[in-house]
Amino acid sequence: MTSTTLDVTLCLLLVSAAAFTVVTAEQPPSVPAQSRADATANVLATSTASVNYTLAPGAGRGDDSSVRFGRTRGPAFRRTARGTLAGLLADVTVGSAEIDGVPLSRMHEDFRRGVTRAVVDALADPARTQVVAVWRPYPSSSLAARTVVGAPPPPDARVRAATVDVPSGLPATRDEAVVASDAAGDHSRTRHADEFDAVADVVATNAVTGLFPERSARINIDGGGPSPALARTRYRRTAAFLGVTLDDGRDDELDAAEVGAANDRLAAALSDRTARELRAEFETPADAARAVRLGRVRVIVRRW
Amino acid sequence: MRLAEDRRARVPFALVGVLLLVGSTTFAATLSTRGPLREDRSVETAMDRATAGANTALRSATDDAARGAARNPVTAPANTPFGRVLNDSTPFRDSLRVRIYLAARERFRTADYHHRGVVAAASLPSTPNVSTLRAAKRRVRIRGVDNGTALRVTVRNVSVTARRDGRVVARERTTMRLRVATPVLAMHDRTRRFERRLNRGPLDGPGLGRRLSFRLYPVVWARGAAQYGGLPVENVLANRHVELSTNGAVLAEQREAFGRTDAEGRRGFRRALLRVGAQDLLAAAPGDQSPLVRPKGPGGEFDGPIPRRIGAGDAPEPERNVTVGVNGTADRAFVALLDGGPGADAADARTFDDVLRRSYRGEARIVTGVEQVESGTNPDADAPGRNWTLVDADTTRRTTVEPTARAPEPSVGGDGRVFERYRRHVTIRHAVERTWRRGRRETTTSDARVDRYRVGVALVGTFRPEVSAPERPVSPLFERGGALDGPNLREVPGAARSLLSAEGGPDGVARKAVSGHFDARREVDGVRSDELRSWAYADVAALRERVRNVSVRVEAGTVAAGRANPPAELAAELRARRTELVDPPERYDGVAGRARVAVRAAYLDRVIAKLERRAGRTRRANGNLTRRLRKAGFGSSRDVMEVMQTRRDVPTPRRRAVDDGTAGGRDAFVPEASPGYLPLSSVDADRLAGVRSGRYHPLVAENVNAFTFPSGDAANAVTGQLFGDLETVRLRTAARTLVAANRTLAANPDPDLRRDRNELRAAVATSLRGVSDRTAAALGTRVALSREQRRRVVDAAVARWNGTGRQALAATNGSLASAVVAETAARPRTDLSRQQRDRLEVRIRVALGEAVRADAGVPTSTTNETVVATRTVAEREMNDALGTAFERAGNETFRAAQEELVERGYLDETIAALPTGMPVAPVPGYWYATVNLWDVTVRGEYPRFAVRARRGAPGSGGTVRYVRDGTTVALDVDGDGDPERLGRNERVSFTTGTVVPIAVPPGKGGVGDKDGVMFERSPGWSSTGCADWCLSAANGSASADAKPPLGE
Repeated sequence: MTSTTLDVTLCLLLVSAAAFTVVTAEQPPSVPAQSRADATANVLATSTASVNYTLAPGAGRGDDSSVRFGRTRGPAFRRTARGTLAGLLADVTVGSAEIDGVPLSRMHEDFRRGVTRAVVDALADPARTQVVAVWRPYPSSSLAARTVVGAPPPPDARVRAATVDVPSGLPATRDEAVVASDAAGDHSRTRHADEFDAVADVVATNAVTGLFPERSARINIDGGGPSPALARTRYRRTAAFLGVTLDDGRDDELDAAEVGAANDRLAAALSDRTARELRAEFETPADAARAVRLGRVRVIVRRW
Repeated sequence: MRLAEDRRARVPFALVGVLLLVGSTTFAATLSTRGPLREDRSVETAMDRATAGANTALRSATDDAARGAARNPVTAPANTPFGRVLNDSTPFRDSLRVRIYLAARERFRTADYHHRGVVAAASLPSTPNVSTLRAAKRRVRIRGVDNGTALRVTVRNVSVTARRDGRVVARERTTMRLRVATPVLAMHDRTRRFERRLNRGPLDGPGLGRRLSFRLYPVVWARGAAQYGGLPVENVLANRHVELSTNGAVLAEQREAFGRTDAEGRRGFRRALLRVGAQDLLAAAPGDQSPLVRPKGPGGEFDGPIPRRIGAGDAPEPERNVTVGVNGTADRAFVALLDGGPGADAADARTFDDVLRRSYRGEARIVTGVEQVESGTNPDADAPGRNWTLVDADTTRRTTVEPTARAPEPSVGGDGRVFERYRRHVTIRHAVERTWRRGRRETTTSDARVDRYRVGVALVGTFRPEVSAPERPVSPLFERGGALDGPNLREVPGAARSLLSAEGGPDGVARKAVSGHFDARREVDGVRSDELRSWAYADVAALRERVRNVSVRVEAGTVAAGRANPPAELAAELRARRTELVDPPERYDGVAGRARVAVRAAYLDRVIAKLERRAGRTRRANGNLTRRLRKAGFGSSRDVMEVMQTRRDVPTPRRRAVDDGTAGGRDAFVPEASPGYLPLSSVDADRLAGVRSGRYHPLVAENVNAFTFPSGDAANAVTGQLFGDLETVRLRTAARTLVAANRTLAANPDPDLRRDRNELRAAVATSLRGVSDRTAAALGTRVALSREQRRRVVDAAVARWNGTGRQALAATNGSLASAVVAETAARPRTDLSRQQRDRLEVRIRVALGEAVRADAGVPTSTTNETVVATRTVAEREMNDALGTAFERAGNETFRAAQEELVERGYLDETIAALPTGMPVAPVPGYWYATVNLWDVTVRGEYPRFAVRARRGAPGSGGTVRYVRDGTTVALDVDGDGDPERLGRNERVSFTTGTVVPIAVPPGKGGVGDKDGVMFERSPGWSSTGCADWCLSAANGSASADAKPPLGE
């Protein structure tokens, strides 16, 4: 009897030891920086945040005195935006589009601060992460936007990157541009002598439609609160950068009814500029058309 | 057994353990020495990231779709193939689902993920036709959470596909669920609720109709009371008040629905309040068409303090009580009591003298009590012997009466008084002599029987008045004394005695009494003293004055709605107070004392009977009023009452933020109406958002005044047609008009007015002459004056007033009566006692009233023309005086203008004195209130109504706007580049109304609009809200969503 007891006890002891050995066996080396970048990108794409901000920077401080604001700060300017971090980054980026490095509107300044803070809060290791959101309708476009959260990596660091593409809110234009680059050549009746012009027209029209949606602009101009003044300011600044006037020289405020005409003028001016840039950058209009990326903002996560 | 000794082929457990240990150690060593795993996870990563990216894409797509749906909400699906995809009951939600689907599809295309040659993307099928669109709609489910301030979206069957070199390497279907913080469902639902409440009538529950009542009641009651009180209020309820009240009510409804009000609307309302306040203080200025506050008009903003809301505070209210007294009915009943005549029921038709006479009625009676003390037996007819035959029986009876000391007391009855008693003993002896015959033989037997009685005789007097008075003992009764030391019924004992002697004295009566029933009685009418009449008269005249002042309180609103019956209440009141008013003493002080009380009781009964007949007529009149109102579209009086009672059931909402649960940030829904303030005037399209061209009437109103001058004048309105044209108006009306015209003429000699006035004066004079004739005739039956003298008396009385108008007024308000009496008394040979004067005056007052009502009508046309002419002149006059003041607005100016008006004073006579309203007079002469009624209908439409919330990124202006401006909603659903019509959004419009009744005391000018406009309609009323802009708006149907859904 004694030997049986000893036998069983010894067996149990050995089984326990075996289990312990398996469980405590050393795991393979930890997840590399690459998957951390991907994980961060996933976080940006899926987690949501609320951002409270003010539109006040868009008012008053502007260099355009032709639009009058009743007041330039205060509760009337406070807003709340909510969305995924990537979506918010896209909003900031497209909203603060610049022409030759000058922003079309200052309305986004506080919003950008809020979104930046929200993104930093969501990062696991902000000191070793940089998030860059880029919107560029085509390579070398002077109308572009970029939002950077975090410092750039040190030169000697081994950097891993992951990207997320987020809809910019502008129409996806590439297909249309490709069609335009073909069609312009086939039909001499179109008023575009040059296929580059055709592509540029599509890009400019869609960009203006996306940045200055007509019904929304009309409603804002007819609306209450600071909306009309903010919308007018944005129009004026853009027009000034593109070198066009919106009102036939009349010193008159932009009316809701004039929005369509104003958009046409902006699109025409932008189209000229775009055609110039496309010609300089691309060899063929087809190349140019394929490079058009109006509809998306690319969010790049760098991790080191 | 020991292990070593065991021969069986056994493996020890420990050995198994050793094997396990060795195996696991080897495995662990392998694990830890191997390098990191290198496997191709790019497909999984791509799938993961594509799914995550789709999440962001769906979120922003939902946000965009929600914004788009709010900017172009579909409230009416189009009757097109694509439009029919939207359910009729939930077009907005369905359009949102379609938009979410399309937006998500578009966004998924830009949210693909590239990773080491693997491209992963989420996708949804395209919707080239109606059936695929319907299926697409069904894939998307939405639900409002947190009171609709956030949206829970579920998209089913999203396929996520990974491709490598165009080859599908992975595919999965998922259902995506998101919660997106966009408040469009709440905005839509609240706007719908706002719209529903705007369209509610006062009887449909809380909403605009009720608020409108709440605001219009004080206006009508305050201005009505002011008008009645003599202030120059020409148009009690003008459309400017309707406009102002509607806008105030709409603002309250905005706050109710959204928590906030439109800032432009508040400013506009404030300006309008000042403007209307100015107009109202400047009173009757014909400024109804004056320029209105333009919603976006430049300049002209008042910064002064806002005057108190019209009618706030101490203004009269329908809940206040109106005192209705017995008043003239006391006189009428009094005259009827004196003269008899028709009136009370036959049983009560006692005149004053009747009552007195019948009060002095007594009865003299002789009552007896008989007791038989001995009753003899009739002797048998015993034959003297055998064979005797009775031939004859001769009976004699002898009665002897002698006094006795004992006799039964006759029963007198409770109310009788015994004057004298007699006791007699009566013996009756019956003797019989019989004659018998036997053969030829005759013989006679005699026999006798004696009856004895004791008889008591009493002479009794009884008081038998034939008029009722409270049961009280009367003393003294059959002797002089008591009140006035009067004779009472002292004739009764004498009458009883003479009755007794007529009946043969006590012996004779006793004789008769024993032989059978005896009853002797005689009615006695007592002789009344001379002072009795005047004493009772003075007493009942004092009662008359007391009764005249008896009053009941009825709610003014009940009267106004035609649901009060003051005469019935007065009758009930008198009945309840009958004992107090009749005031019987504990014991009547003689017959005179009882007669006095009987007269009081008879008088009260007459008053009550008259009031009850009036009550019956009032019921019929109320019924008539209700029937006529219903016929004219005002609704029944029950409805009117209900409107009145429920008008306060609309609590004033408080400013509040949106309760959006966890969705973050304090937010508010702010309405943006265009125009913020809805004016009744037309507005140029370029001042309005949402209208392209032309002119637009955002608000139209109609207010119908049920009784305007002079069509509804007088009691005829009850018995005659409500809105019919009367041939004559009452003398009172004509007289007031004449007085007003005279006043105006004195200030401003206008030839037209003078001509009209002269005509009216002639008509009034004719009418007045008729009244004078009848008055003189009434005088004739009372005073010993010749016809010529009577005529002169009346003329002299009339001449006490200056001018035909005032004379006629004196005739109509009864003050002429005392003048006539005074003139009569002043004549020689007509020294009248006080009682006679009182009597005469009451009679003449009544006769005057009858004369005025009977045949003193004045042609309506003549009166009407004078009214119009007077008003024209008065308005001109006032404009001259105040035209400039009207321009300057400010409290100081108001006050100065008001004071000026009061000082000048002529206005109250010219305008306030023109009678309007419907006197509530069930029978002519019983005028206890003047009622009037306004039926108000408003129709409004916002060319553009938006609600904003501070949500979203700056790119969209940081604002979500829900816009209702009547545009067409089109969306490119099939991807062919052309938008398909899905429906349209309907403008926020409303139709509602209310009824406002008012009642003022009788007399004066009544209450009502005196500008002669019964149907006051704002410009554009007939075009039912939509002016010429409709066409232009339809042409320019907004297809702003041509670039769906990323277009905006």
